[in-house]
Amino acid sequence: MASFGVGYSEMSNSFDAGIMAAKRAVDSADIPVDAIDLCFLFCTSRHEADEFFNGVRKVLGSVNYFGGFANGTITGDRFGYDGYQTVVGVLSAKEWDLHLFRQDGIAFNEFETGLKLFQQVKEADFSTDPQMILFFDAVNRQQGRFQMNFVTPFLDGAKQAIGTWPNIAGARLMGDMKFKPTFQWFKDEMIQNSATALAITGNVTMDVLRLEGCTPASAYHTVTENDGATILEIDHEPATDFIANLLGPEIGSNYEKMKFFVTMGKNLGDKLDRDKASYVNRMCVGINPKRKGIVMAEMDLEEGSDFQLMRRGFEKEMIESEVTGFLEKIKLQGKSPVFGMYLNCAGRAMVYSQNETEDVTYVQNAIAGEFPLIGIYEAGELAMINGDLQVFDWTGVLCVFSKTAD
Amino acid sequence: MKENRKNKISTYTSDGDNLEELQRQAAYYKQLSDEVAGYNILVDSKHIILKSELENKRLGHDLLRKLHEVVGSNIDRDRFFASTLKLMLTTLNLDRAFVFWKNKDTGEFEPRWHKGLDKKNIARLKDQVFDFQFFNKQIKPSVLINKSVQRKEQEVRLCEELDLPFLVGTPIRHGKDIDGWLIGGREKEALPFYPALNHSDLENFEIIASFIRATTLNMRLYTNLERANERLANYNKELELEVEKRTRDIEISRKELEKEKIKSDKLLLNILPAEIADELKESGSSEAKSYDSVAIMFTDFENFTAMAETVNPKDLVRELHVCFTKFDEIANKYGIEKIKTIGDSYMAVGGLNTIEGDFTADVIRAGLDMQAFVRKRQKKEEAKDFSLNMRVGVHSGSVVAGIVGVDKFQYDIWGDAVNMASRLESAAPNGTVNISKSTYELVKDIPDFVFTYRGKVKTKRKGDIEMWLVDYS
Repeated sequence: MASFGVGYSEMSNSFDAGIMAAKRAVDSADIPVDAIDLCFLFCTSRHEADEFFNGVRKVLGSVNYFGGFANGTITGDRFGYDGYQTVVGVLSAKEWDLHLFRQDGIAFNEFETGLKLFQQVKEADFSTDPQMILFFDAVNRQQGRFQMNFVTPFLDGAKQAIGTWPNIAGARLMGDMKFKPTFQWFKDEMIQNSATALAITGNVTMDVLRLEGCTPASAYHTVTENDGATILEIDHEPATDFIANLLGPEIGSNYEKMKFFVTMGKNLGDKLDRDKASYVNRMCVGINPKRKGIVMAEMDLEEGSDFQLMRRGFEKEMIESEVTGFLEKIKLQGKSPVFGMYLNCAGRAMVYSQNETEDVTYVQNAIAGEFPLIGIYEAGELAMINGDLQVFDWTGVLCVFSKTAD
Repeated sequence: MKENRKNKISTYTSDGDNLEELQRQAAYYKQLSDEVAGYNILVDSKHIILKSELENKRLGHDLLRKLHEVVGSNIDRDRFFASTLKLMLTTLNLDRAFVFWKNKDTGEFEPRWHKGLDKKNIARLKDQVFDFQFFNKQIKPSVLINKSVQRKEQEVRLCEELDLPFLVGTPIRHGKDIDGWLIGGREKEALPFYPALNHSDLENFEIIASFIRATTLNMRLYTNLERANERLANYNKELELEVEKRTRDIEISRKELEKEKIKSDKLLLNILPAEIADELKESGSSEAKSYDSVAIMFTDFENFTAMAETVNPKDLVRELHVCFTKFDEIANKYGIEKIKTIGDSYMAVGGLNTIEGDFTADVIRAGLDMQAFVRKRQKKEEAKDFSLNMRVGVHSGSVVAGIVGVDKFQYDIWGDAVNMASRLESAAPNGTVNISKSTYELVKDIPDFVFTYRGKVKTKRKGDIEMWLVDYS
């Protein structure tokens, strides 16, 4: 029988926080430490990564660790961000097989890293469909200045290796919005600049619900020139001029605001169907005033790409009913949820959006303690759409791991 | 307007013959939707910025509420500052916060408390001191350094020294003096996560600084109160110890007094019967009393006075003391009264305290025990120089008993029976207890004793009188 426990702490002493969260996780799982097969662990960058890891290891000893920095952490009844949040989840699952994969060196090398990581997955040649979670470092500071590790080339490489995607979800990890270097924990090591994956096989399924964070707001426009992730022209107009014309001088003349308020959406479905579920959002991470370019978080808005400007915001009340319906469907299929994992965009946090409440509370309310929940605030959510793995921004991805019906 | 548009669409769609018009219409709606999008996104941005400012205010209030809780649960200065700085970091979303405290000797400010520093920052800050004189000279000495302010030289230096590009600082005042500086800031300024520090942050800092000032003042008062309490507690402790010592001394004195009283009572009882002693203690005098029947005993050592010529008088007195001490013990054992000693003679009487009981037999038993002790004593090494032969006489009859004198008073008995007892002692053979007929008649039936009739024996001034020697059976 699989069991899962979650522990949360906001102690500022990193070692003590690790101990506290780990102890709480073991207590809530109600299993002996030697029965633990895997430990998920996350903390914000306010913590000393090694001290936090040492604290957790002091309680759990030698088990497989899988996690990293997060901008905030979530459980079934707690959440927080930007502070000293930590979370530890312990999984005991004798009927499931757990497989861990790792590929280092993602900075400037996203395609190769995706390729090699998923070659390992392919070579594992699982007898049953693996249910996978993918975490990788969001921050590239190899040259001092911050640059995002791009998801799209990573996924292109991964797709080339794997061919057909398994059931997979994931997140791009970072410990704060200042983009400090990310730390990850893998097996018994602390690592950086890496992509890691967990595959669970056996009588397990992972059901995934995407909670969109943006709605299309404008007409369609076309990228007419780009240089990697930088959009230089839109509809044959310099990109910043185009945005300034569209949004007016108040935003148009303030690059700081422009950077924050520009979100573009790609409709992967029927262009004339406004189904929000078909959209992927692309956030702007910088302005290049010299080239009048808009630097995007991803590289997939290329010449010829149609996009719409998006409004950030979600219908809060819908979240609870969407999650409730999703869970009912799981139960109707005869599955028994063991734990949930909520990968939530840091930008959805109330303080950083125009939301008056926290979206996490609606997810927590819908789950209502039926199974343990572990979650993080991160910088890019990965989930399947139309048979492909995509990165979404301003989105919440809820993964529920269940024991399948016998 | 919406309805008009619908009508227009309906009109042209139904006509279906004007492609150019349809393209114009599409362009119109495209532009319209972009304008609406621009407007909405602008409104959203204003909303978020306004919300961010409101949130900042709310966080400031939230921080104050939490600070009250911190103060409520901490009276330790280090813990108070650690909790306060942690709250500032997490509530105001700062990266680092410091409290610099004035060194009273040097006047410089030392980074006494801080939060959010990594190991490298901590090492860098070690032993650094700061001079905030420049800021003190400003009309309003608080500092706000964000992306848009023109930085003064001192501000640039402060940011560099603290490795914090954006910061807010405000003095912690104590009257006209500045006790310390509260400084906090961010490594980055970027919407929406790290909005520029602004006057709202400065106000929050000033409120927190006031709070710290009030709290440190309370802590000082508390510390002073603690010290006063400690002094009082020490004083109380000393007082308690003194009281305890004095009580102990009094107890010792009381016990000594008690001991003295017991000694004095014992001494009094040595010379007076208990009843007379009580009467004397209570009233200061005692009436003479006559007793119809008492048993009087005399003992006397043969040739004791003559022995004084051959042995050291001190040794003689010591030996006598040994014997009479034992006699006192024996007299006490049988409840008979020692009246006095006259030289080497010991006089005791039974029946003064009580008319009940077999006091005559007890006087005889005492006499026999005294004889037994003397015989045993004679065999001791230390008594080998003495020839300890003792006579004991006992007679029963009436006496008058009372105290004679005021100073050095003496309890004594008088009457013919006393003289008769003395005669019986004189007539006793060495080592025996010699009793008169009146005594014999009182004890002859007691199986403890055996009697040897001596017949009539001549005595000085009393003529011939019948006598019996008595011994244990």
